[in-house]
Amino acid sequence: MNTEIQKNENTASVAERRPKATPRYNVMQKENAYQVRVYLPGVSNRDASITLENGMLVVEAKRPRHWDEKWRELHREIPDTDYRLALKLNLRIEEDSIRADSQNGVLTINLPVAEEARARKIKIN
Amino acid sequence: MALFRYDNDLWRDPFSDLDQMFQRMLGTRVPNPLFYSDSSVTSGFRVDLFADDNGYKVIAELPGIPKDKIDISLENAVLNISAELKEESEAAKTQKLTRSISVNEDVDAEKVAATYQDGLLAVTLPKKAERKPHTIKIKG
Repeated sequence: MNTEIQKNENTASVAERRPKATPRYNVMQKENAYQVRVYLPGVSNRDASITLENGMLVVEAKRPRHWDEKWRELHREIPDTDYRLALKLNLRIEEDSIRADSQNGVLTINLPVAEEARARKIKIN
Repeated sequence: MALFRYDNDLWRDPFSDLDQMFQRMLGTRVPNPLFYSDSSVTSGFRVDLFADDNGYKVIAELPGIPKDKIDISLENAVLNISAELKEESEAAKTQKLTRSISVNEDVDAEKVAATYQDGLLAVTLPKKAERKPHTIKIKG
């Protein structure tokens, strides 16, 4: 029996709880898979994390500072918040074969639909 | 949030203009007369503007756009950044994103440089040499 107390990601201390913004994303249906594209400008692929737990796909990324302390602010639109996107996977996904790739600040996650959840053609006799 | 819903378009914040008006009214962010962005094209993409003693910096959020699809031009003290965003979908539509930013006349157009990394474009606009602040030492 596993008696070890499991670390819960949600119990971060107040000091660690920084505001997080939902990044822009889109979902596309491919053949037997769904492709999620998450727009994370400023984030390199080593700064993003993808976790899958209890049917939730969570993408978290720390936004690195894109300015220098010596610069004076003239006009700001880009927020300083980190990114967090939580998506409920409301269908069965082949969890072991999820692939992710990051390019030009866009994280592409490929979610293959599990065999039993795929569309099946039914023959009419 | 379920997987099959996608309606959060952060790039088109309908309240961004209102926020700017409030900030101007409250005096929390005084618009810089040398460097302002045209509100009619705010919907393009988000930009940050900075300055230091050597010049200005423009940071733009352009994720998912290959470097060769970004055009930067400086004409009559207006910096134009335009990009072609190809949304990968069944329709495969191409969206044109543009921002025009007025820059001060003291920018050295010949030395404007840009870098692009991880979806962030950084444009450096150096000031002309004679306009930079000089420290004058008192002799003797």
